[in-house]
Amino acid sequence: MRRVLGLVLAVWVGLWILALSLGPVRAQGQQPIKVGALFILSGNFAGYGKSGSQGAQLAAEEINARGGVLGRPIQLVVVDDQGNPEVGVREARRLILQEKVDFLFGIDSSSVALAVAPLTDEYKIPLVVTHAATPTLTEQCRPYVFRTSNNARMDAWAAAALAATLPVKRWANIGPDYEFGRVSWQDFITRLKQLRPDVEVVSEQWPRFGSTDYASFITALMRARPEGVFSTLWAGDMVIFARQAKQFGFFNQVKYFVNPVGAALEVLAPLGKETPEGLLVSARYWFLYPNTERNRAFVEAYRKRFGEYPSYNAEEAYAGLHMLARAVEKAKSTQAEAVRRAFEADGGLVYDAPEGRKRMRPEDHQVFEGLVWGYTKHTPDYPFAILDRLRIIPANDTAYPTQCKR
Amino acid sequence: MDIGFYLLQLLTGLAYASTLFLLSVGLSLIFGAMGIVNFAHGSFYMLGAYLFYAFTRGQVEGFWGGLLSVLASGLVIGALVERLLIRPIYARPEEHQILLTYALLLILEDAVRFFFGAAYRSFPMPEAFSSPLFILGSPFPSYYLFLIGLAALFALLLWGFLYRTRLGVWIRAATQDREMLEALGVNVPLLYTAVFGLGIALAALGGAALLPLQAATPGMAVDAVISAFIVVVIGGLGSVWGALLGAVLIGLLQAFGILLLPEWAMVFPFGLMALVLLLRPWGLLGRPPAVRT
Amino acid sequence: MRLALLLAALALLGPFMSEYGLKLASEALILGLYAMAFNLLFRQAGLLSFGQAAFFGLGAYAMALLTQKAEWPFLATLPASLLVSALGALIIGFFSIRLTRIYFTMLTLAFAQLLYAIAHKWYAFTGGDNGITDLRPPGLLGESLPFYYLVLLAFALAVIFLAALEGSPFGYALRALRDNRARAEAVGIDSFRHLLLAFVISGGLSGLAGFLQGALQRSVFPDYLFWTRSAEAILSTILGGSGFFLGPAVGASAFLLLRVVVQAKTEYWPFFLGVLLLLMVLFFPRGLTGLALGLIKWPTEVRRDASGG
Repeated sequence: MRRVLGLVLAVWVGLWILALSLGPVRAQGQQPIKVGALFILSGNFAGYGKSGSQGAQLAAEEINARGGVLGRPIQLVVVDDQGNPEVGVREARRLILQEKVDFLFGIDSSSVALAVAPLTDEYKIPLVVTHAATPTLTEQCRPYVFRTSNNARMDAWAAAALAATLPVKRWANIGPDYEFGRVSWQDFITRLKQLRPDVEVVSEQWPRFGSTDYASFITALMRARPEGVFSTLWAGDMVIFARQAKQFGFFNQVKYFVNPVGAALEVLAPLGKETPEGLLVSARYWFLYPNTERNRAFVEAYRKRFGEYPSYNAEEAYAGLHMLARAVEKAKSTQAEAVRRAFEADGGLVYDAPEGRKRMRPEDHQVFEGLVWGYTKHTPDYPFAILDRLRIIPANDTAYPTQCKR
Repeated sequence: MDIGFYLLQLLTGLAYASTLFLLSVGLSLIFGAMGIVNFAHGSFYMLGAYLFYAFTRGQVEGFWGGLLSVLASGLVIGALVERLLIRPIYARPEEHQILLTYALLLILEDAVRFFFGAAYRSFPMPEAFSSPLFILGSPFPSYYLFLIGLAALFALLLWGFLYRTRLGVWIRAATQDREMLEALGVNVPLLYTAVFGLGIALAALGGAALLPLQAATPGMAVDAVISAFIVVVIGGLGSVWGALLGAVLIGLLQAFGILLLPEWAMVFPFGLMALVLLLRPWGLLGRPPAVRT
Repeated sequence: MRLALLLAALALLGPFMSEYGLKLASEALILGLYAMAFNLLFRQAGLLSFGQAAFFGLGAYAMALLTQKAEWPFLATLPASLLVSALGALIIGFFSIRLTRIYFTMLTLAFAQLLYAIAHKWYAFTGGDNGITDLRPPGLLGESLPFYYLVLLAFALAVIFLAALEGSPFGYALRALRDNRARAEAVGIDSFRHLLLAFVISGGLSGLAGFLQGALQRSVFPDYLFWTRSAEAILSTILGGSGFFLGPAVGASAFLLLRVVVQAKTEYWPFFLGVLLLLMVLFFPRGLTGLALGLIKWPTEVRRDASGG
């Protein structure tokens, strides 16, 4: 028995040696700039990750078509982090140590972003986040973490800025019971009370993140007779909630339903013609705004390449990669310190994305930009609801104070 | 005293309970008759939802036909899975059976993702249910009443089946003493195939029936099986009435619990489950396991 | 002893491994430790626990909270992690051991999920789903090679301890309880105390694994307590072969290696794992170790008996 076990163990050790000695061959010469992108490609939020990776891909292709960055092509390595922080850390490590990427990119899930962030300090690899929205990420003030998309606090402040202009005094909330839902509501109501001290909260509902039945929450909410309801239900939760709430006549009773992530195409598309009209929603990027040459060209190129309209995650990834490329060009290097200085210099790097002008705040590496909101409306031109009566919230209205210093 | 509201809340609780019952009853049945903990139960529920969408292509006219097709498909798929994968491991220790169903969960999840993609699938509300009922002045979706009715109907049908037909008697006998049943000449493996098929068919039908009020999402299987476990553990593994009771308790707990403690909605099901396990581990309507020598 | 040779080999390999290899090897050893802790209950005592994640998570959170909030030195939190997870096992075991078979499994699962829900909701204390990050041990242990040796040391001590346990009267008592509880009790073995002790030991070792994992991954999240974490211990054990002493450790390495290699090539890792598991259960129930033995056509030896009672 012992002999056999020893043999088996020898094989085991041998396997390890073999596996660990394998690694990517370092090609000499025209070395590409490798960008390791982590997105959620499986599970309930796979749609978002898919959009993100597609947007990044389009950007990489465009950059390479015009000669790359510093004369080197961008090579995108996309991995599935499954929305799981440990998988994220493991894959990030693999990207850094095996694939030898120069940058980490993307990340949909806030917990994955927070788990990967310490690695940027450990390995001096910059991370450019294009989706994960927890304000905590940038409030940690890490030198090599950058976020080119807006975060949940900006969304909440924009919502509050809008809400302050509405004829609403009685507010309620229904949000997913996890950090994103909780902090968004906290930020929203705190900011709203600063702008409109006369508002009151009449109900708060906290269904489990991933709930499939909202009936009891809907009726409890309706009983409190709110005039306005704030919500950060997103993805499948929002689709399900919208359908069920509509059946209860929720949207007839509640005058204003405000959701900063409700205009995601991942939500509007499945709802199709069933989307209630008049929902006041935003999604960090809306493909029909602004009506500029730049945006139209992007939408057209994306549609041609992928056969669908770009959702916000696609545009954010697209813009994020372009912005990173610009930083590297400005730094004339891929070294973390040089790139950081490039992002921070001159009051913060500026990039004109399809959605508008992005400027990175040097203190916390958070990009600020105008945010577009609108009321859902059906038109014959599209199979899903589009945004009408657009309201643009300028960057200044969402520029919350940061604790970081530079 | 706002009677109208409390009645409404009661109904929403029962509505949620109905969705839980349709999801869980098959799990309880399978465990009761075969002793198998089917980790893939939520996966068949998910498959039912996606198949319903595929059969009807999202066209509302196909509603009734779609439901029937899913029920039939569930029976066939369940029977096949049982015959090919589960039968070979009857005699194995339970962890092998658990692992097998867990493997099925993994496979089905990716299979669905591969064939249907990552987008959420919905189904429009059938015309018959598109106008709400008014309960003391407040609108209540009639589809929820349909679901409550469907759940009640299935509970009754299952009860009738298990207690009034010979096949049902055999199934109940199998939960108590399989060897004796075989000794009496009953073809137990065939019985098992039938039971498994039935359980899966119920799960698939549940998934399909819920689609007009929910959505088919790629990750719904894991969530569903956890909910099903909670219901079945509370009600009693192996008891159909237990599944109903468990579902009703959870539904009502959510409906009224959030009026008192809205912060804790997420914890209610786990809390109740832990409580039941501590006080009556075999579930409220379950039977204490027979001591085998 | 062969075991000593293996450990020495793993130690000697250290300086030759790449940074990435060291991380992977550390993770494999930690998972192996966790799986071996599970198998103590499973193989020796015949208990299928689906709640090991609870103790794994408790150990991890103890380390995380003490280093972040109370600013304890890293190594000082080790005894605390062991204590907290063992205590958790004592409490959970006290309620669970009374039950048998599927009900035991269900209750352990329920407790783990309850702990998960608490960790998830208690933002102020645990950070909720934002977790606790920046858990890199300061100084030497923050480097890959020294940390690898720490993990190897922990693994070695745990394995030696478990081996000793197996050959001890306690081990014999456990196996007697597993094979025929009524008979064992009839000869005077207190089933409750023995099983509870096994549960506590298993919990403590799982907590040790969690402690190490948190430091390795630089962060701790409520995920550590989720039931899929319990499933990892079970999967590794079955993959490697629960009937053999080091089977779980072999299975853990195989599981990890496979996951890393497959995930690098495709996003359909769950499908791959599912098919693998299916094949294992249907055709190779004795795991990889059993498979290897079958191939070498060595005479079969101690195989796990079917659980009785």
